[in-house]
Amino acid sequence: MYALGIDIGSTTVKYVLCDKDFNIVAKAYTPHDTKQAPTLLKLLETLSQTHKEAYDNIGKVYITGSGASRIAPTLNARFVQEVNAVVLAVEHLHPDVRSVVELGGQDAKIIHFKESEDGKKTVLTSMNDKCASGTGATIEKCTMKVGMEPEEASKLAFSAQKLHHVAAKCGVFAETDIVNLVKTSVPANEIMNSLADAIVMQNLTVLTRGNTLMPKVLLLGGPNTYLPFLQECWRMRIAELWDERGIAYDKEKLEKLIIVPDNAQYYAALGAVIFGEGEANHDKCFSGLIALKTLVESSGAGESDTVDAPLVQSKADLEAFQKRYTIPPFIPPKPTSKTVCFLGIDGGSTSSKAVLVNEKGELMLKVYQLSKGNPIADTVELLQKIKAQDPESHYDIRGLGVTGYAADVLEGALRADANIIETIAHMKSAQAAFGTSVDVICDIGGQDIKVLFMENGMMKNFRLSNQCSAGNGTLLQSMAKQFGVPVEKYAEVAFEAKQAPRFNYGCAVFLDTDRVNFQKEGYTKEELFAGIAKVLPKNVWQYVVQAPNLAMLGRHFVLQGGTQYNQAALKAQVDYIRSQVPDATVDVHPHPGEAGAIGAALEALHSVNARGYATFVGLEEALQMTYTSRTDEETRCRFCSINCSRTFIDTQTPSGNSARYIAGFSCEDGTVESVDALKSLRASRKSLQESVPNLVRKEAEKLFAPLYTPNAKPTPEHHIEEQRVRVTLGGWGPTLRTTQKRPFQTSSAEDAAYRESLTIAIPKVLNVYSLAPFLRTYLEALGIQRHNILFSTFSNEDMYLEGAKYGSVDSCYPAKVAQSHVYQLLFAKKYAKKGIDYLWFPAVTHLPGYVTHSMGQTSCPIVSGTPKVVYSAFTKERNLFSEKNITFVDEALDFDNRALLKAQLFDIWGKRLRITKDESDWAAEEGWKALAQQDTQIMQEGRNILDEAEANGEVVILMLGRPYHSDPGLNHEVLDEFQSLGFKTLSMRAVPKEHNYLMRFFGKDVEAGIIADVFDIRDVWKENFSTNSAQKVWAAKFAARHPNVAVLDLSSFKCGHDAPTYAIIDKILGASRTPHLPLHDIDANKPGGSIKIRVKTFAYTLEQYAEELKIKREKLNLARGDFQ
Amino acid sequence: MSLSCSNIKTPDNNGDLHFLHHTPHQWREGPTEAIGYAPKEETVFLSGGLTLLQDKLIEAALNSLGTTFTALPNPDFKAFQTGKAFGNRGQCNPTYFTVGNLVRYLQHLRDEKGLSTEEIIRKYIYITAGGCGPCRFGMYITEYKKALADAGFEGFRITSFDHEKGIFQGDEIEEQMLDYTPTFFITLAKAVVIGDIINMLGYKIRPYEVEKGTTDAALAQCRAIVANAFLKHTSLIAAMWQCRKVLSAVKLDRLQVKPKVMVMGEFWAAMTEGDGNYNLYRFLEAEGAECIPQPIINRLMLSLWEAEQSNLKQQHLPGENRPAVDFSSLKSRLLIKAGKAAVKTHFTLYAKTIGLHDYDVPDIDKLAELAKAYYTLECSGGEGHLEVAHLIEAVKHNLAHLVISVKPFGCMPSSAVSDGVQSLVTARYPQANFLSIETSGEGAANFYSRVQMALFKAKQAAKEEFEAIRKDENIPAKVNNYLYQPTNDKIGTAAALLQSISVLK
Repeated sequence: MYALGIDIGSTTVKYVLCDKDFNIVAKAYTPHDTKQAPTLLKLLETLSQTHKEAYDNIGKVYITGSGASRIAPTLNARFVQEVNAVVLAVEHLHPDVRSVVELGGQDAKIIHFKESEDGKKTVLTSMNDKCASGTGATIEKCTMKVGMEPEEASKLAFSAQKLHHVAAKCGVFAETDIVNLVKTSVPANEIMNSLADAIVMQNLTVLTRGNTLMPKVLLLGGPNTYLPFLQECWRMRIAELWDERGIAYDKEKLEKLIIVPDNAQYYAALGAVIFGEGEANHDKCFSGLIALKTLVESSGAGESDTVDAPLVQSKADLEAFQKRYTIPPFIPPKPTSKTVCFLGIDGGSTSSKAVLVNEKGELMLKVYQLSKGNPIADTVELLQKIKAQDPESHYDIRGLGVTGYAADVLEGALRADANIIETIAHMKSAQAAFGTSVDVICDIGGQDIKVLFMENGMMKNFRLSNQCSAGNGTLLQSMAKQFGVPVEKYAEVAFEAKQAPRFNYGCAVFLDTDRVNFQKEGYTKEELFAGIAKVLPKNVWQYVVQAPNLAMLGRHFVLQGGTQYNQAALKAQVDYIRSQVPDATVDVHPHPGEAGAIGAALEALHSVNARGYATFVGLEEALQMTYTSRTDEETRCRFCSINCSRTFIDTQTPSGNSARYIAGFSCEDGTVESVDALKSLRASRKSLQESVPNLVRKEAEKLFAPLYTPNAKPTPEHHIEEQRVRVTLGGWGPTLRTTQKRPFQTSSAEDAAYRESLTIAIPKVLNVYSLAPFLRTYLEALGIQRHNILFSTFSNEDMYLEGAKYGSVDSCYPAKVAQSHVYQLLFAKKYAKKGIDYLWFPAVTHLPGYVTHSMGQTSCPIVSGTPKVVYSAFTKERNLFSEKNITFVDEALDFDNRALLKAQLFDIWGKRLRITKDESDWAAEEGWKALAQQDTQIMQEGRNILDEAEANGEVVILMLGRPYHSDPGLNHEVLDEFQSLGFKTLSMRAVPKEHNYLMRFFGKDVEAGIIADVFDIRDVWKENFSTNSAQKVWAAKFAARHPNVAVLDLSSFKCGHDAPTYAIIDKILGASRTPHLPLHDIDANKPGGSIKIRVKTFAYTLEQYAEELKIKREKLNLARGDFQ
Repeated sequence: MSLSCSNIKTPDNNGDLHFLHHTPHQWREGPTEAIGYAPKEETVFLSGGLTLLQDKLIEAALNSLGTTFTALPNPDFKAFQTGKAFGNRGQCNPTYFTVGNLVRYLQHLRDEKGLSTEEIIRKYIYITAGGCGPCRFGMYITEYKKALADAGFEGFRITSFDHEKGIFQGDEIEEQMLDYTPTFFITLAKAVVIGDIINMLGYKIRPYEVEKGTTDAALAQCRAIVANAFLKHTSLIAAMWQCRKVLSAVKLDRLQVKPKVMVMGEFWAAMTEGDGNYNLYRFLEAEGAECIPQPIINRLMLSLWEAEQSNLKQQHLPGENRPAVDFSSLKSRLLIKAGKAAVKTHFTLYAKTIGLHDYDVPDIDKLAELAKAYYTLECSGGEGHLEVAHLIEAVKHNLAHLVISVKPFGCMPSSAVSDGVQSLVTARYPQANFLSIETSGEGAANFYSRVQMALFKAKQAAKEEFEAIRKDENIPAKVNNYLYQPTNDKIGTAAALLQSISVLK
């Protein structure tokens, strides 16, 4: 008897035929190209001929893999879970292996074999989410993006010399990073190495759940088998971990400790057989191939609930649409004499466009260039195209405006007259074409979706897509490409469909999964095309804009962006808008693809006219521009320990205009090259901090500085009044309280000397941001030397990655980075040489709070639980604290109950610091004073800024966030961006809390009995026990009542305490029409581009808001506080 | 949108677009105009969200007090989608399930029963257990209100009794509407306790039934008997005795080797019997396992324990304006003691009557002792230290072949804290077969596949355990009677039964 094991993976089908001792007698492996059942049928039919005898003697069939469940019943096969199968195959073939890493087409698995003291083997397994990127599918896609042939990839060697940032968390994110690296001319091999490293590190940090991959390690799955550079990367990184964690291994034999076995692709199929035969609960025998054949033949689509209406209802419907919306071809006017014009360039992510407009702003010429990677090269080609269309040099280009992703590079290189953010360029363009009656402008480009909301010709709000949204031009393009249809023919094909499958929207990975499934279900190309076109409006209006009712946005919609050339997408959009707003006017920009470039050209026209001269180097010069791009050790930034890998793009024009554009840095210091330049940068930053204060940054620095000097400690001569509490009858009697006076008790001089020798470190994380002055002062007051109280540094990504390798949970970034802070205090040289005695990371359960009538003052459960999670991570395999001779102090503290807090502090520190209860209590009082002093000082500065703003009609920005969002590593330095644009910023702590001052804003509500006092937020939120969330809501209420305050609202990805307040804050600020920029879901990596466009667009709306404010004040002398 | 990516980040919304083209004003929560709510006799109280059996028993118990109560249907996937559509983003899925379930029920009243929105708002009140932080559970009411307002039911009343403090959260309803008397709470507690007991027996019996479906039919009968006893104010003890007879009639084959799986984790995800945890219990049983659920009284006992701890900590503290002879701590102590005693007495009484012999009300102090080296006991969010304690207890006292900790995606206390700590616990107890699993963030297929993965090891362990016992030729008939519940160091039911027989001989 033989047993058949089948593995239906996401990209391939495999089988093994085994005898009773699990020896493989036949096997096959082939890609299925989404046709799983037919492929398997073919393989088995072949098997029945090549191994007839064995085939006729197949007893049981076992099947595993992601596509197994549909096929299993047709073969009477028993379904076996994949990981179980692999575990058994490994146990059978490699009894000495202790960990396995398998990367498949769509998923990644890590298996640890552990042995307990009684010799019992246990298995720990973990699998990624189905969409995470550490998988074959992502590697394959990225290989294509960097333009590498698969054979080339399989010959690539790994080198850790030049690695660039690639987000490996999700396939979509990784691809975006890869595309950006390609665009900055990073060589393909460096990109592939960076991807491999990112994947390996992602798996090591997240998927191992903090467990060490112990030798021997087995590497399984397609990518590990076929890509030697990936194998090398694993070997390097795993060996690094072993070194770091003191795992003994033979360095010479690394190749034998981290191995890729033969037949690696058959492990799951073989394991399925071993598993099944061992379970003995499968009594059905192989039934032949008839049922499988029926399954293959009966496949067809159209029955399920995934069917949606087609794009075109009737011929008349299509004709009417085409009549109204076919964009007439552009025939450029041919000038016969010198014509003054202005050049606009939109350096987009997938294509670049250039236009010329004349002095009246009319379009003269447009050219288009698919992006080839380097923005400078793309631009030169664009300019050559312009030149070619104007052989007699009639165009007299008097100015240049740039926008888009490449705008900054071009601005420097060509000395552009205007550099405007894309959103504004699109707005100007739409208004130039359709006037100021436009209510909504929707731009769909290659990668992005931008929707702008207008009121009386002014931009009032905007929504932009993020990396997750997939319904854009590239999606349609790649769909066309997959089916070998030229993108220009897309609409023609899609209009043919009589029905369309209903796709998920929001994520490109899911869309692709859907596409594969729908194909399996038998949908035709036409239907799939129509279905994808219909994703577009859903993605725009339901996912990006999230407006349940489009009518509230207005009546006049303008659609632009290159995607509007695709009539299928356009029709889907128009139909969707019409279905929601029947009387809407939906216009398409006459030059949708060039709308951004036109906006830039118009801006150049405007600024050259206003200024009276142009800075643009001129077309001839620009055409001869040359450039070099470098990313190497010399370009690396050396100004801090992060050592960012930077790219220098140097451009030169014949007349000697040279410019250097620097990309790839993570902070402002990276924008300069020499120490002198850095000095002057810092000096200018300092003077900027004085003229345009950023109180968030200031607060973050001051919180940890020794700014409070404790009073002299009382002596035994000093008498204190004490309430003595006696609990009687073990708690079953009354509690008796008496008051008495007695001398202050002090510890001995010896004990004091002992304390002077101690060093205590505190991680600069989470609620330490609320309490640092208290914690520091408490210790200082007890005689710990000021210089012996150490805080970790601000967060940064490198530091995060260092410590994250021990991570066992995937919580919010502020909590995950806490572990890295502790790691830094344990291992960074700067701290190690200080010889830390105690590492104090208190579990803060309750916080001091000023919001009144609240249900409580609790801190977030993650915040209070994280100290123990960190402790678990660092003591799981070895106790890193005891190895370093450090005591980790993580007991709970309740800052909402001062008496309890005192008791807790003494419990924690009494013996450790050899102090008396009196000393501890007194030090706690000093701590409260320090905290109050800090608050008072920062509030005074806040008051000054607010008063000045009112006097001068300025708009200032208040950051809503949790205390730790003051960490520049967590707020991604957004505040600094606003500062450099001239906006003063306030933290919530800096908002004055004086009753009289606040009565100006809340007085009416208090008098009307809506709230009990100025700090009462029950009118907007009753379930307000979370101190930090309640304070955010209060600050939002304040901003809503102060006419000069705009809001930047930060929230970390996965924040459970912020989530319930999203809608509340949104409504408070929406109703009061307070300008409001939320950056929610902020995470470890800084989404630079996405932050920039939001900040700049928001800054533009703030300028408009300030203008309006001024007019309103002049006319009515009315403050927003009066609107209530 | 697909529901299965935990990485999906929705774009930021800057300002509610509803306010475009409107004049500025200050937003306030709640209806702008006063609503004339219906008098008590016309008012219908809605509740739900526990196990199917408990919801029905609570309905009967509370109706017996002369008010109209209706239990909502079991929240399903459609409820979840409704919850997502009307809720804030970034919530955990119990919120979406329960909030969506209520919205859907009201929509059903409006669209299918033909009630006007005004009538629904006037006549219905939703009553739920609340919390006071620190996890999202305490903010559910915010979510209910937001979703209800967005779904067109602005002004609908939600009220909750806080499990910790007995105070009220949400809308203050007029006092005479609901009599929150001791009788009210005791009746409620009885329904919960009886529900726990019958549920636990159900999980013990069903895996071994000879004829498929007989257990469920018997359980349905028990439910009717107890509900009837509540409504008719007849003896609950007599009802439990009757249930004992009904359950005894289910034919069992208890010598089948099945792994025992303890299911714990986040309260709602571990308790719900439906789409909320992908029907975890039914799935485990179909895969050949016997489940050990966590009764709801665990959560109740934890709350009492937390109150007790807080009292213990406070009683020694000095405080201003407190009397020299202070009885406040004693009062709390007595109340807590009475609460604990009431739960224990009722539980023991009913459990003994129906024949659940091998389960004791958990001793939270003991569990805290097990967990305290790993978990900061003052951190009271979610299930607090219980998850960690249950795992250690299961390993130390041989309670299960597999411990599954199930939680919604992104559950703050469970995913972000307990799981982090469990990684240390499993390192200290490598023999533990432990699976922590989130109920969203991945599709059902992935969820099941992970459970199967862990179950495989559990099955092997159960088989090994069973095979190591000497089998006797003569098996007494009582092994197949559920009332025979021996306790010994064997985990599996079959193994424990055989072991007890051989010991007897």
